[in-house]
Amino acid sequence: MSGEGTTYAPKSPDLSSFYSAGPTPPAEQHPAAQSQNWSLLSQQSQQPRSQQFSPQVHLQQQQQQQQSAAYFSGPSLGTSQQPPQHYTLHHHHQQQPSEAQKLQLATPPQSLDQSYYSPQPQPQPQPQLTSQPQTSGLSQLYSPYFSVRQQVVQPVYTAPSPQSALYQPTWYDNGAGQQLHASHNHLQQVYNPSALFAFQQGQVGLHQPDASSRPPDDTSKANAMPPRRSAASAAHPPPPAVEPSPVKTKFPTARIKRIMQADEEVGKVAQQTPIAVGKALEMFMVALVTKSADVAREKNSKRVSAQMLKQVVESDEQWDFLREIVSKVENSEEKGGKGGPSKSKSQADSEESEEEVMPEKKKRAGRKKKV
Amino acid sequence: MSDHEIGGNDDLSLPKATVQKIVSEILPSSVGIAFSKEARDLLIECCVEFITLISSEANEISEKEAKKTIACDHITKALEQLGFADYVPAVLEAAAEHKEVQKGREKKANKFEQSGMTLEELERLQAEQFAAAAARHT
Repeated sequence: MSGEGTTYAPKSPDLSSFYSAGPTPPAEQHPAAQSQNWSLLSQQSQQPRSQQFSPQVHLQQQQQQQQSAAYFSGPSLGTSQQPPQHYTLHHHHQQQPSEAQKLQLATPPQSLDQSYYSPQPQPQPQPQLTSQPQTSGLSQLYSPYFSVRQQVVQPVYTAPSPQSALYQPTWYDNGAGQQLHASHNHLQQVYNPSALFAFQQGQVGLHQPDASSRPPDDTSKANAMPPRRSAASAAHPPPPAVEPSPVKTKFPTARIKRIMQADEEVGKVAQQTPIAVGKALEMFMVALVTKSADVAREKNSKRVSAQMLKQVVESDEQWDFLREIVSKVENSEEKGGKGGPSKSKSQADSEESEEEVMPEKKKRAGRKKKV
Repeated sequence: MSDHEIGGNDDLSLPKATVQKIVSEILPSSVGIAFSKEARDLLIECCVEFITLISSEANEISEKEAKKTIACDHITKALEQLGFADYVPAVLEAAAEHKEVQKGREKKANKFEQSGMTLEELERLQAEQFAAAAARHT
């Protein structure tokens, strides 16, 4: 799965160039983008979703849909290498607002959208589709400059804002995408179950960028997304301004001071200093934990093993001072590495609660001996 | 690593429950990813190493500046030198926040100033209260 994910990554910059070129290339390009996204979707197949479907099933559905409704033929994956451009454009255009509608459950969709993007994916007369005034907005819809597009097309289109990120090489956060994906599905069912299918086609191209770009201006999406996650992943690109940390718990300053002064060279420490160190430590942990969680996600594991933490430490020279520690732990980790990922989540949880009760000294000593 | 590794001294490690709590704050259950026991222990070791690294770097800086006490400045400089410059704004903010809290505490503690009375007034008040108490008991 992670292999598929990585094959996708180098391709996305190409897409950006195609997309900014004009309205015609997107029609050809989008199915490719979709099929690539499908690999990511299938990667998420283990994620809890409101609608359990495999990509293959979906493909079949889509083919059936193609027969029944002509305008759905556009974005079908792989089945049509050269989809009719207009259909594709309309198709996507149609669905992106549908996602927007679903994300904005609170705000009533505009009447035009409601009729046009009616959740019933019944075949509409194609001439009608082409005659829609939104056609003019399509090229903008695919341009990376979303803010312009958003204003031009429809105010309802707040949701597609992250679409531009789809075509940029920077989106990396599959995990958040998975989450969002789940929440989208949920919303979508609340909105209208019969629209599931149509929505998902549109969603394929959308759910990833939603997560990665996380626009602050879009309140409806922020509601659909878990707020904690956004704060956590914000630690990836170091923000210039101070962002609110998800961590509320503070380290005991006395302990930090003691650890600092364990170094005999360290003399007096100002009162503020352990607090500063504690904050730095907190940020250090956020970085380390989120990165290792990303690794776990790539490996389709629900548990971060020490091995994964080691991998993260070794991936960045910023953490080279930890290499000695992680290399030391490796030996004792072989056991844990085998047992860890195979454990189910419930087991993991129960174990965790045990851990808290267990006396520290005993475990620490036990592990030391192994090392 | 230093002697705390060998000795297994808990005082020179971080409390596991706290670390676990912070980890689960970073990775809420909605993320669906938990830290294994081994990873958490390793994380704790990394954290201790991080503190040691920062403090020894800060100590060097303070020595260069001929200061006997490691101040916040030295920590931020150490962070910058060690490639953690992006932590500095948040660290400064946290330190400033703490300073504010500390100031507030000091002010609160000073009841004399808060009372808004002079020493003589307070003495008279005390005498009155003593007299009132004595009257009640006789």
